[in-house]
Amino acid sequence: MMPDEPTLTKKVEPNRLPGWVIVLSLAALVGFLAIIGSSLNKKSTPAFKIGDPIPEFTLTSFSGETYNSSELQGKVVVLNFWASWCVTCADEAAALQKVWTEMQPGGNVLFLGIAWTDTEVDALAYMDRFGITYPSGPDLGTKVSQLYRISGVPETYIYDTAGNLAAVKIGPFESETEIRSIIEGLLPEG
Amino acid sequence: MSASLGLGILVLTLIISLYAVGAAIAGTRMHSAQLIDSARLATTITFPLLTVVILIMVYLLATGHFEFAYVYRQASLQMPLYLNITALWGGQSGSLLFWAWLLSGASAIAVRQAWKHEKPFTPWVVVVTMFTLAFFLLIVTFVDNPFARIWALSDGQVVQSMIQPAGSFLIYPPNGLGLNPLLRDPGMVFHPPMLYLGFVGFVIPFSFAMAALVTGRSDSAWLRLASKWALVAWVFLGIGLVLGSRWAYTVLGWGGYWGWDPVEVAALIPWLTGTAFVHSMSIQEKRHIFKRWNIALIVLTFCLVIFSTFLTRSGILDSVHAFTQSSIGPMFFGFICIVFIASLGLILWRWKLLESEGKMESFFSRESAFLFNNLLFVLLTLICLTGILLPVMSDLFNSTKLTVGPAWYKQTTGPVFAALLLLMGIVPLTAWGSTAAKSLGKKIWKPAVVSLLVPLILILTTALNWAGILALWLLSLITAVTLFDYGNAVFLRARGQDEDILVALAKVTARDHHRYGGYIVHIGIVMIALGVVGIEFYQAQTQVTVGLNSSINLEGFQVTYKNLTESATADGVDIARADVTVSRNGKTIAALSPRRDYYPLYQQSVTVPGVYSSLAEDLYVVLVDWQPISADAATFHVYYNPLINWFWIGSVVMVLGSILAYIPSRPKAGEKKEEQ
Amino acid sequence: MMKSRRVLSSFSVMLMLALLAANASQALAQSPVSVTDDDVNRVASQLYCPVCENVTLDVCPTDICARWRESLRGKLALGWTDQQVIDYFVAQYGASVSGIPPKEGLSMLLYGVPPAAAVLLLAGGFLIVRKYKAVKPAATSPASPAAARSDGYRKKLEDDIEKELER
Repeated sequence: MMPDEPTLTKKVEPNRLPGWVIVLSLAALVGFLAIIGSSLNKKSTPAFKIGDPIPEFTLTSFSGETYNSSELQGKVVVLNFWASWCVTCADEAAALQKVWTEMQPGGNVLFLGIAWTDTEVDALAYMDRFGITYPSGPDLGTKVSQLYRISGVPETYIYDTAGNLAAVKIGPFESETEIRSIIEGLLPEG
Repeated sequence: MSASLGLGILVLTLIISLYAVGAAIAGTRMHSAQLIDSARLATTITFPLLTVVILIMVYLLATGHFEFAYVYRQASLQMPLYLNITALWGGQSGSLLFWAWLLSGASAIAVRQAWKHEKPFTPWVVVVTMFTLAFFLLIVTFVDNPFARIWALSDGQVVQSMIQPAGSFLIYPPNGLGLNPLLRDPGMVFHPPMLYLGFVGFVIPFSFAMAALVTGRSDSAWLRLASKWALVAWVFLGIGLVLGSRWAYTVLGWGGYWGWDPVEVAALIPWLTGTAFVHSMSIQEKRHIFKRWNIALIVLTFCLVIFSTFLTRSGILDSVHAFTQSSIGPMFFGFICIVFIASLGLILWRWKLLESEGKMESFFSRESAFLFNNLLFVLLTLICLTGILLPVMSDLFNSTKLTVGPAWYKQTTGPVFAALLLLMGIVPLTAWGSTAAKSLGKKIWKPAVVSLLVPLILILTTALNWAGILALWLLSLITAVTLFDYGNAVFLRARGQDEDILVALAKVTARDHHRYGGYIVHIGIVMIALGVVGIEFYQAQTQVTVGLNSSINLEGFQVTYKNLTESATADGVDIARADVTVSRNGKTIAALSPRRDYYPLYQQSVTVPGVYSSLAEDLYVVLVDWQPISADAATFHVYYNPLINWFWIGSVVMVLGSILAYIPSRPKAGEKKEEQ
Repeated sequence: MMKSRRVLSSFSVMLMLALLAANASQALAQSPVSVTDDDVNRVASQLYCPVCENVTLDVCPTDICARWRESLRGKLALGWTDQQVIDYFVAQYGASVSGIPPKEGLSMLLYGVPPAAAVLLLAGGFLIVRKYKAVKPAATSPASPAAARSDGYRKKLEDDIEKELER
């Protein structure tokens, strides 16, 4: 010990830290980095890719019917996230309703609106304004939208009759034709 | 033309920085002084090169070359020249380029210092700084290049690219979008550069620490080089944070200065460990203990600087401050992995070498006070990390978004801050080595008695607010202790030397400016805390809709609604401006004009409060809503923010104290420098 | 606001029932109360805008937030307590609208880590001081380190203490 003078170079002792300390410290760091890395990965990849089966969720519409995602197979399902305060949602609302009116009688298609972060009054007023008749319900606790990790509204997920994701539209549809052509491509022949 | 020059120099600098890393490593392995020398030269030359790049970028921004995507997004003909120049750090790629430029300047100086004072460190300082620089330049060159231009392809698509795509032609937009409205403020001039200076400043002490670890120098040589850098970086980071909160207070219109937003917290975290470091480094300098601790702390600080930059730019944190683009995430993550693992690996490898030689003699010694100060700052760091990482983890594991709000932060950090203040209060009474509990008690009783006056007066004159009274008593105790100690020295000198009190004050301060600079820092902190206590425990607010010439009453103030005008500026900003008068005891004391500016292009409004300021309090008036055409009624949110101005004053005092504490002493023959 | 009560959509009924069951006496017994902006802000300041991250509802300038504040005002007017309103918003828009995460699952870390870290760090601090103190007798004679640095600052400090104690 030479407290008076700063030691220049201490003799290098051969001893190192015990192996388990080194391994444990590095493992902790790698674990931490793994969490950060997978979080980054999760944030930058979409929740579902084409072909993924429809995830488990339940939606109760404003008029009180309950839809369970596992019971929707056999129909082409159009899952549309929207909000009454969203300007671009209004752009596609009329087109969606139009296609719904055409296709509903066939019975092979189901449109489901999911109102994201909306007050019930505003949502109902919006549906009134665009004469929307397909079932739409509030996303209670934003559970479904967090499941889909939507980046905003509108976002639309279209499932084929086998219940697999067939198309994703981020942002509004440009025309009725666009919606119609996607759905028709998924309907069984004849 | 100038653009290809800028791009060319950027690529050249990237190559040079990579060369420097390679040459430094090769030089040490092959014991080639020549190679190391060339690495040193390469490091030095990055600064003038990047300066040219920066000047070109500034030129493009200032002259409105909107064919560049970055200029188009950040600059605008409607913005004043100074804002167009600040657009340099207003966006992602520009700010990264700015970071790189500051880093190259700091590296050039650091390498020179190492070469002069600790030659063996030089190659490793080069490796650390130039590796970091190369990383930033890599992003700026290949991922997010500020020189990318806007091209129209033959099929009508518009793309941005550095190189002209085949068959495309350049687009010259007539005007740019300009900075986000919230950034169009003089605060933009100083706040980001100060933060970046602080961040970059911590790279250098880290590089010295790494150099010491690699070369196996276990003494304080690295610290002698690192300490000034750490201090300067710490002061800049502190100024940056305070300027940011001042900006938030004057522009964001929510009546507060700190919202515990994840990005704010992310910028605070390196400051916390940096604060711990500037305290503990002086212990190593004086007592030769805490060597491992200091190395670990500076390494941690740098890692946190990089980590918080990563968090805010990778899109991991959801925040108003976050940069929107996340394309740099993966690359940044790779860099973090390398830095973290290399740092930890080196520390573990050299752990045994860094045994301390000194010792501690008492729980009441100054070094033990510093130790606990450090532990409390580490605790704050852990709390803040938990707060910002929990939502990230919840999103990852449970796919559930969470918000950790101010309530949690206040609850968890409040007691720690109080403990730190208490510790700060007794530090002047402790000595290096040991202080007997008895002498501590002897020294504390007088100031303690005097400080009791404050709660006494408060109880007699104001409404009972026990938390507030307790906090204010704590502050008065610290002030009393500090002033007693300071005063003692001054009076002793005045009596002993038969001097005027003021002369004695100046001389005492000058003779031991490290110590009394530290005292001034402490007084500054007390003032800051006073502002915090004012807002936390005594803030009052109300929101009322009033008709013309009607008033809102709050804490003895009367705010009277006089007029409202709506106008649009030439560049399409809609401004709603209310005129109100503020009176107290029937006397009009101020006329304020709270505003709401709406930027249609961004669909964003900026709330500009009207503030009446005095040393005792602020009256902060926000225009919330109004009746459009008639202006018959308007809604105001009025905040009464007592003592808030001491927050800003204290910050200035703290910076001045820091400067006083750490200006180099005039070297006296045969006497070694002593600090604090 | 009354309209939303009349629309007997199942979710709001369920929610109301749950809330009523939890606090039946209060929610039912109170007649519509007058709600000031200050009441709204008191609750809104504890809630976050569900769309713009980390902006509290009381100061959020967007249209959407204005609507949520109105909805909030409506609930208060029905005599709901602050906590009921907050719980309602959390049920509607998810946990992230409240600044205080629920005390369950992963969020328990928020309540566990700070006290645990505090105890560990402080205990560690005491152990370090004790360890350093224990080195003392073995290393050097007790007086030497202090004496060695009795130049300059150290000496002055000790003088100060002496003088001060004399007074």
